[in-house]
Amino acid sequence: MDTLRSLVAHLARRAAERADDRAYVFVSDRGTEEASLTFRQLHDAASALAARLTAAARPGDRAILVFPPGLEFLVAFFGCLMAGIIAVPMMLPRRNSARDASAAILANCTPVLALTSSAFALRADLQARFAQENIRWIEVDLATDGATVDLPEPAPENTAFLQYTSGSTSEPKGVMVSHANLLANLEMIRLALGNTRQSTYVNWVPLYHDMGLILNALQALYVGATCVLMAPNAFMQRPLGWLRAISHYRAEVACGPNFGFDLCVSRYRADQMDGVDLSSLKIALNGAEPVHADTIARFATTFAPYGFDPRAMYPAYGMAEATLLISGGRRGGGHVTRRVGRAALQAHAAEAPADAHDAQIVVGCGRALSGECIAIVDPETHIRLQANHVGEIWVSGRNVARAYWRNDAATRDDLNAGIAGEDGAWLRTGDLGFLDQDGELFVTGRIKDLIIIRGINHYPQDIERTVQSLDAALRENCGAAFAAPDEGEEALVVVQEIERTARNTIDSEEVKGRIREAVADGHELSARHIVLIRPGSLPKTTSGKIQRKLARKLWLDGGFDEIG
Amino acid sequence: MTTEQISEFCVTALANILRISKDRVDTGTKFNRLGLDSAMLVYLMMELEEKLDIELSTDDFYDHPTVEALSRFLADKRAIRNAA
Repeated sequence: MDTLRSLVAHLARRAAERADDRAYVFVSDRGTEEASLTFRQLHDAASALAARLTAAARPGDRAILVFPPGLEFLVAFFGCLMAGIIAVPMMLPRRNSARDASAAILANCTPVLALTSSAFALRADLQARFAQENIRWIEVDLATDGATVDLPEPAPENTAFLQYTSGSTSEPKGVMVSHANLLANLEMIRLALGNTRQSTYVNWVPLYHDMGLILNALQALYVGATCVLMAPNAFMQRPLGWLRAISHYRAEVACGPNFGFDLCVSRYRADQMDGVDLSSLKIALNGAEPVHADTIARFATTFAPYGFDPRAMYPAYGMAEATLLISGGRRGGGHVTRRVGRAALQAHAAEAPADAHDAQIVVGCGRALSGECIAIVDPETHIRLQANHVGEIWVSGRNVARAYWRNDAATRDDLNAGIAGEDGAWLRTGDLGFLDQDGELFVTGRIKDLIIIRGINHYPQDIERTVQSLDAALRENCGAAFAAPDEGEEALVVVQEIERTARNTIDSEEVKGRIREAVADGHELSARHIVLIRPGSLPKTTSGKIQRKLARKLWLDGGFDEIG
Repeated sequence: MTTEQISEFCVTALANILRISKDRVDTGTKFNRLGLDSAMLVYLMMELEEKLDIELSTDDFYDHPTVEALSRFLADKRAIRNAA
């Protein structure tokens, strides 16, 4: 688009040229505007904060960003970029939850600062949680006055922020997103979505989530559009409020995970949609978790009477390691689905189904972005596969991060992999899929047993560890956690072996209650199905590794004998 | 609504949200022990707000973490509002 070298320069230019246009608006769950920032106000507030930050930390130091929904997060994020301090967006720890990923993230990135809003700094449990860490708290507000200092523009290769979305609790992986990565992907997104400064966004995805931050908030600023933000909880309570806001602000772009589109359909009530007109919406991007063909169809059918154009449906694929977006379609181009055979797919080929029972619909997630390459590679031999063969999805491009924070092994294996007989460094996504002859990408599954519920990645071993640490009767390394379809949504299932000695004495209901409690507190998940089984009945490999995929299949087939 | 009626409503709502039968929703068991995660908690809150016509915050659920405690709190809250 132009030659500015960092997002800081983009903000400065917007602030100079379109000072009084609104960059961000925060609306309540009833749709009333609670706060807004023009480009000038955002620039000035961030500059003032940057001056405070340079007095408290050195360039390259890390600052965690812990914010309730609102615009303060954005001031903090840009303040860090300006000061050369590496921002680390973090999920808000849940009240009363003793354990979650935050401790491991803090240990990995060793922040010197914690940025939060004034109101939030008072939350006693947060203060207690971070008290033992050597972190200085800085309160951030939207004030635009305050001393500023001259700061050098960040260099393209410098790390802009760390995104922790992958890696288990025991081994968190912070993707080091450089300024160059960020600008490269923002430009790719602009081209793929066809965005202009008229491309108003309405976003409910949290800003600590890479989709909320990059695809929504930062892309809007990059193209000079307004981004209307609402609290994730407000969306969960009243999903139709998202659609009403899209209508009210004549928004062009709305992005969210698959479950969000399902939620709009399941909470649809005609009386709450009076006067709503969705005809302005050009991109309804569905990403961050597997995209379902029936979700797309239901959403399009339900909201077509309100002017929703089915061609706006925009399935996409991405991950933090590629800054965010990896593949997408064309604005107004509609999406591609394909009927393939289940059996063939399991044998790693995309072929026509043998019969109706064998048929499965897969949704295309678009093609490689401008300047980016996607390859399908055999995960064992690293040989590149041809079209319509299923293998691991590999990506290369200027949007792919060069390293994980302090994790050389993962940096080497996952971000700098090589295709047999070829040059170049590739990102291994861990996802399985195929490309068709036109280069359309279809994601079909995962190599790793990652659990994705409501767009959030969970590692099964973390949940299994939580369960097994509860009671000596719960055998270590003899449990399996996985997601399985249940009444139209993905639900968490925990299968756990009981020690032989405890088999007859155990109070199953009491133990299940403790498991549910620990999983809810530690992982923000409801363990809907808990199955306690005899020792030795969980499928394992000869080397003793748990076969989660097989356990899942057994559970779906009703193949486990429950104790008690 | 009385505490008992609110309690009955909570049990029905929780059974629907958790996809379990009503007799498995013990009114003295903590919400997280029933397996309620934060998204589900928001659903429950929404149901209660609509039914009782009051504004709630998620903090209310942490401060009154069982059906029993929450129902008592909600009945009092409504009584105070109606008296005012």
